[in-house]
Order: sequence, then C-alpha cells, then structure tokens
Amino acid sequence: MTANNLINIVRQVTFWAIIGLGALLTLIGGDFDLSPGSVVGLVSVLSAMTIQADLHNSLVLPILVTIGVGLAVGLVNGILIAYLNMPAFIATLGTQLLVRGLALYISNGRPVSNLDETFTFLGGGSIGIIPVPVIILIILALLTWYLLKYTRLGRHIYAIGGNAQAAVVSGVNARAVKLFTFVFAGVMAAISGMILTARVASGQPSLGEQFEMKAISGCVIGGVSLKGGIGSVYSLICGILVIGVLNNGMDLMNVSGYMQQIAEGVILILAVLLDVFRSRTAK
Amino acid sequence: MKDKNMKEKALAVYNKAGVFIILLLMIIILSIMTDTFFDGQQPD
Repeated sequence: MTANNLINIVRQVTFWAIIGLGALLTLIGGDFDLSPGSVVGLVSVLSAMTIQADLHNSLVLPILVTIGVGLAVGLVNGILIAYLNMPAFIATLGTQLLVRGLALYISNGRPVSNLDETFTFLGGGSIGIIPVPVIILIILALLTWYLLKYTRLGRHIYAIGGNAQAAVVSGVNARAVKLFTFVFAGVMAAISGMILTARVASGQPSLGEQFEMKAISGCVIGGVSLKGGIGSVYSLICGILVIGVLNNGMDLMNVSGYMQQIAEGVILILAVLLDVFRSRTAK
Repeated sequence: MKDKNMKEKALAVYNKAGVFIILLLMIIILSIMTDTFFDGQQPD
C-alpha cells in the first residue's frame, strides 16, 4: 500500500486552497469575494500569452503580469466595497463577470498552448516527492498564518470582522484594512491561476470556474464564520481537505458527478447550520 | 448549569479539532470502504 493517493488529493486541492487563503482574509474581515475564479481565467490567458511572447523563456514577466492582474482586480473590488460602500456580493459579482468576459475577449475564447517547460514545471514538477504547487501553498499558508497571528494588520482584520464599529472607534482604519483583504484575495487568486495554467500546460479563459465556491465552501466547512471575526489557516486547510477527500473517495467508489455535487451541497449546508448554532451558543 | 458547561466544552473541542477529526474519520471510513483508497487505483 502506498500513499500516492494522499499526495494526489493534496495536489488537487492546492489550487482551491491558495484561493482559499484570500477568501479566508475577506471572510474574517466580514466580507466575501466572488471574483477569484474569473481572475484565474484572466491570469491563465495573460500568463500563457506572456510566456509565448517572451523570447528569453524567463518566468519574470509572467509572474509580474500575474501579480499585476491580481493587484488590479483586488484594488477595483476593494475601492468599490471599502471606499464606495458597495455591497461585496454585487461588486464582486460584477467584477467576476467583467474579468471572465475580458479573458474570453482577449483570447477570443480559444486556449493558448505550447508553453515552455520552465513554466510548466511550476504546476507539474516535483521536488523530491513533494509537488511544486504544494510547496508554494505551504509557503503562502505560512505567510498568511504569520500575518493573521503576529501582525497588527492581522489583528485589525479580526477586529473589523468581529465588530466593525468598535474597531473604527478604537482607531482602526477599516477602509484600508478591507482594501488590503481584497487585494490579498486578488493576488492569491492570480497566483493560483498561474500555477494551474502551468499544471494544465495551456492558457484557458474558462479555467477556474466555480473555484471561489470551492474556496468559500472549504473555509465554511473548516469553521470560518460567515459573519466575520473567526477563522484560521488551519481551519481553511482542513475544510479544503475535507472537500478533496470527499470528491476523491466518491470518485474511487464510482459515485456519479451529479451525486458528488449533492453530497458537497449537503455538507456545506450542515457546516453553515453549525456556524449559526455556534454563534447562537456564543451569545 | 452543568448542561451549559458540557455544551460549551463540546463546542470548544469542536472549535479546536472538530474538522480535523472529521477529516481523519473520513479517511478511515473511505480506506475501509474502498481498500484502494491510499494507492488511488480504481477498484475492479
């Protein structure tokens, strides 16, 4: 018996987990972001086009483009929500449609293929037995954990999620903190998009559909509160692994894809019910 | 009062390690139900 399948599960959930790190910050801050899946699509197209255009086969340009797209979408979301007081649901639904449309328009709806091996190593390569995307996830997860646990900014994110008015009265710049959470979510989605593009070895405008739902589901199943103020990287990773193990196990048991969606939906509803019960008990 | 304490204790345990325990249980149940879970082969 080997543990190959466990490594496969971790590799499969890595892309959702990286987006989940961004979703975690926005959820702790009391908001949520529906645009990450579309950011994955746009980054996929743009990073693939950049790697094709770059004659030196260097990773610098695709990485810059990736971070640039993540920053730009995150800034738009953050400004709309934190500074123009738009509801997060509508603002991020708008950017979701806008960014996906942009990805389809730029690529003309066609995949961009023939990517360089240096680039595809980021998604398909391994160092020892550990896949490169998993190493990237571990680094990003540790950074997020440190940010939330040991920095003033992290405490401010918990504070505005727990009680925004009290946080503002205490001198927290809630708008700037919210803007940061959306920019962070955008950059995480963009990094996930670049690694996934390297994994599938082509730039696809439809890549990442429903990824935001997987990420938010993972957070909620792990115990991150939808009301804000509660959550950790550990909860997110456990929650995402639950979804990964469930999908993989049902695949092995030959359960149909439709049935898998039903099971995932039921688990999500149970997790939200548990969150409601927990917040009632806390009161 | 005692009931309330028990409820709070159960919730505290769930908050700390609940999802991890669920994850381990899922892996154990799946490895019993499909003896190919760890190596990832499709069952015959």
